[in-house]
Order: sequence, then structure tokens, then C-alpha cells
Amino acid sequence: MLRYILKRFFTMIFVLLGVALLIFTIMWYCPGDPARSLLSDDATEEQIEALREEMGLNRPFFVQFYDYVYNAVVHQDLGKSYQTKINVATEISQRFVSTVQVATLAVSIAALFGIPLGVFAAVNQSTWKDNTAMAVSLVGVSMPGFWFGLMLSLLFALKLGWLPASGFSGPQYLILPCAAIGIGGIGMISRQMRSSMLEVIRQDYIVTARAKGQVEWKVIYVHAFRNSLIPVITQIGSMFGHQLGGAMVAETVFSIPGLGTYMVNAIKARDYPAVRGSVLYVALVFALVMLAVDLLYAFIDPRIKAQYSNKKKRRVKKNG
Amino acid sequence: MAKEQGIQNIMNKKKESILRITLHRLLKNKLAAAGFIVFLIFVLMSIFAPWVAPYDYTKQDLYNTLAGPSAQHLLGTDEVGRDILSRLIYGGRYSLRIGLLSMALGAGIGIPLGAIAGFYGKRLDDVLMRFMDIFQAIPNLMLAIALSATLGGGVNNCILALGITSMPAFARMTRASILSVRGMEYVEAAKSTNSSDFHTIVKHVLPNAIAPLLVQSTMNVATSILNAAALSFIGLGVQPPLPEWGAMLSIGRTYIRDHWHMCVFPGLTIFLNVMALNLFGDGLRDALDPRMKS
Repeated sequence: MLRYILKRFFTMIFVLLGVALLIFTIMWYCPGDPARSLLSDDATEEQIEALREEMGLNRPFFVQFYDYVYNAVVHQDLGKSYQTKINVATEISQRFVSTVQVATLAVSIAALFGIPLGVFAAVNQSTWKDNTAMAVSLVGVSMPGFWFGLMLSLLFALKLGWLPASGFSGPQYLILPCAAIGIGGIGMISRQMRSSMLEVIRQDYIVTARAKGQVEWKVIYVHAFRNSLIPVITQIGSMFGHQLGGAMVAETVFSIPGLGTYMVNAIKARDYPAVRGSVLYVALVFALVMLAVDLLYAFIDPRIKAQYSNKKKRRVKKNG
Repeated sequence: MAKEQGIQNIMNKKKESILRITLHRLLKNKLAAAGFIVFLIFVLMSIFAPWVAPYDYTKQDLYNTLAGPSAQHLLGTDEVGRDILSRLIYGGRYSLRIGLLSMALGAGIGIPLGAIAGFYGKRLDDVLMRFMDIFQAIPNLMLAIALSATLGGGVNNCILALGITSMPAFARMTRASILSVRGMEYVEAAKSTNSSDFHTIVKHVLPNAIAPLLVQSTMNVATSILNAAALSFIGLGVQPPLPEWGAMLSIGRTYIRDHWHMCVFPGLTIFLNVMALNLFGDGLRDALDPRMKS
């Protein structure tokens, strides 16, 4: 198991380096001169050139890239934002709190509704109940989250006045954005849960459980449910990882001061260090979440745990 | 010679029958057929927009701005008095073009890369798949936003940004499909008849691995339409006054408090298109591989 984790860490470092290089290259080709945009319109060419030199923008691509990676790894320094002059890592960690809150609640809503909906559809396969459940999930998958957010805001904030339309200063501010993000998640999770559950309930051990006279709810919830969770957990993990990257559009709709709005504003302002930092951060968090999901498998599915321990035993036997 | 002709006829018949069976299954699935018809209607309306749209999409009526739905303007007018229905019909030319062409671009790059990785395996596979890992480590929309910032706004740049972001999914799916057919006897047979690698991949391997790719393509058009709308909504995709659906939604948002129609109808149009494509995609998957119909 440890060997597997180490291997995954090694791959993760490689991927993160690749992400850094990719985003550095994309930003390198971004039109516009950050030095010029930082100075006022009446700045002279000499002043612009001096600032370029000071910011290190005149150095070759790979020198800049090496410095960036070195500072990020050794000093955990992602550079200073051109706009706010604050350290990017500090700003990201401040904004990350609100993004985590939104992501956790949105994914929880999606899982809480999506999993039972999927199980319900699978248990009632090919009946009107299944069709209705799948129609609901299809609506969820097809709904543009940001539009749904606007519609919720129109109804519950602007027309009924029950909830705030934007901002982020209390639990009530979380409801609409999380519902807007969660609707798509409910659709995806329920579809995955249904197909995974259907695959499991055709297995021999389910037939055996039924043949032995096990009551139906136990067959479903004790024998089938746990075994059908793996693909659903992957989906939930991936969804959570993506949401931690900031539900950019939903955050924009509800003016949430999270990572998504930070990145969108940074891109609009051509704030390269902020963009690079946020993308790298998102990639790191996403990779860590997916690693955690992989490790979680071992706890859910004893076969996976056994697979690792068998490998270890085999190696010991071979060497012995 | 006659024997070869006979074998060819049997093979043609087999190909025909597979196509016919798939089509038959697809048509029998009423929801999938409905999805296809709805999407087709949107495509045809946008192609024949000058004849279908009640007004010119640029025509302003400053005496009739922000008017709600009426007999004269079925979906109301926008902030400069342009007919929203006409703009939505013309807008399909941008939104659907972005969806279809970015899918074609993603598939055009991703399928050959996936095919090479799957067919040759070993080092080349490792290198290409690690390359895809890098792309997939960044959420799609975030990568599209970063690319749009570099490339600039506009329809073509939007297609490029979304095409590049959808490429890894195609590559991965192609690789997986090819791995499942690579060891088949007919591939060995093709190789033993001195067929070139290119010929083997294009003529023998890809056609047998195409089913999941067709489904992926359909779903990808839907995702691209959604992402293009999201890009335009935050001001990084197609820019107003072009009537792209996301851009229309972005303007409508400003007036949402008192003029709901400016927000509701563009969003509903996006939703209907995506839903139609998803229905069709689901039906296509079931028709191509009934085992998937679970």
C-alpha cells in the first residue's frame, strides 16, 4: 500500500510540473504587457522598461519558469499579485475557505439526493418510477448551473425575498449557490449510482442472498449497496475536486469571494501570478482529492485491500 | 474471384445490417428520437434563420425596449428593442457551431492520439497518456478560461479553447476502446497480410472501437454548448452584441430584477438543446451496445 501511495505521489509531482509548464506557457503567450498595465497611461517607455526589468519579465522563458517552480517548491511562494500586491498563496488560502464551504455543501446535497435517487431507480428498473427518477436526473445533468442559479435567485431572492441574492456572510448565503451547483451533481450521481447498482444486483452473490431467503431491503442495502459504491465515490471525489477549483460561474453569479471569482478577475486583469497560482493550486488539490479517493477504496472494498496485501505477501515469499 | 465477391457481399450485408439494427433500435427509443428531432429543429432553424426569424436580429426598436412577451414579439425585446426570439434563432448559428466544431476539433486531435497510444502501447502510450493527465488535472472550464484569455474572445477562439479542452477525453476513450480490440484475431490477420499500421488502425481497429466514441461525441457537443455559454456569460467567450446564447444570458442578468424574459428564454434554449443531445446520446449508447442498457 505504501509503495502504491509513493508511486502515486511521484506521478502527481510529474503531473503538477506539467501543469505548471502548461499554464506558464499559456500565460506567456497572453497578449498585453503586465508592466504597461500596472503603470499609469502617462508612464514613459523607460519607466515601463525599468519595471519590466524589476519584475523579471525580460528574462528568458525557461529561466522565469525555473525560478517560479523553485520559489513555489522551496519557499511556497507563488509570487505577488500584480493587482493587489499581496502574496498569491496568502490570497488563495484566504479565499479557499469560502470555496471549501460551498463545495462541501454542494457535493453533500448532490450525494444526499443523488445516491437514493439512483438506488430507487435501479430497484424499480423499467417501471414508471425508474423513468421518472431518470427524467429528473437528466434534467439535472442538462441544466446550466449558472442559469439555474439565476432562476433560483430571481424566485427566492428577488420575488419572494426569502434568501439573499448575493454575498457571503452567513449560512443563508450558501443555500442558493449550493442548490445551483448541486442540481447537476444530483443528476450525475444518480445516473452513476443506478447503472452501478444494476450491475451489482445481477451478480451471483445477490442471487444467493435472495435464494437464502434474505429480505429484499437487506439484499439491497447490505449486500448490493456497498459493492456498488466505488464508481459513485470516484464521481463524488472528482466532483468535489472540481468544486474546490472554484465553481467559477456560480461564484460569479452569487458574488462569492472564493477561488473561482479570484481566478476570473485575475484573468480579466491579466494578473499572471494570480492565474498561475490558482491553476496550480487547483491541480494540486484535485490530485490530492483523487489520491484520497483511491485510498478510500481500500476501506470500502476489502478486495482492493487484499490485492495490496497479497502483492506484499507474494514479494515476501519470492524473496524468502 | 467469385468467392471473393461472395465474401465481400456478405461483409457488406453484415455492415448494412449492423447499421440497420442500430438505427432500428434508435428509432424505437422514443425519447432518443425526440431528442434528435428537437436538436435537428434547432439546427435547421439556425441554418434557415433569415427565413424563420420574424425580425432581423440586429434591428433595434428604441420605442419598444425591454418589452415583455407579446403577440408582436413572442419572447419580448432586449435593452435596445431587438426581438429576443430572432436573436435566439440566429444565436444558434454561434452556439451550435461552437458545440459542433469544438467537438470535431477535440475528436480530430484526440482520436488519432488515443489510437496511436492504444495501438503502439509501451513508451509512446506512457508519454501520451501522461500528457493527457496534465490536461485533465485542470478542470475543463478553468483550462478553457485560461486559453480564452490568451487567444482572446470570438467564436473561432472559443472553438479552439473548447476543442483543446475536450481533446483528452477523446484520446482516453479511443485508447481504451483500441486496447479492447488490439489483440483480436482480425487485427493479427491484418498485420500478417502486411497491412501498414496506418491502414490497420484506420480500416480495422478504429471502426470496431467507434461505438463509445460516437456517444462521447454527442455528449461532448452538449458539454461544449454549456461551457461556451459559461465562457460568454463571464465575458471571456463570444462578445455581445453577437447573439450567442451565453452572451445573451450575460446581458439579461443585468435586467433580471424587472425583465425576467431576458434571462429565462436564452437559458431555456441552452437547456433544451443540451437535454435533447443528452437524450439522443443516451439512446445512441443503448442502441450501439445493448449491454450498456442497464
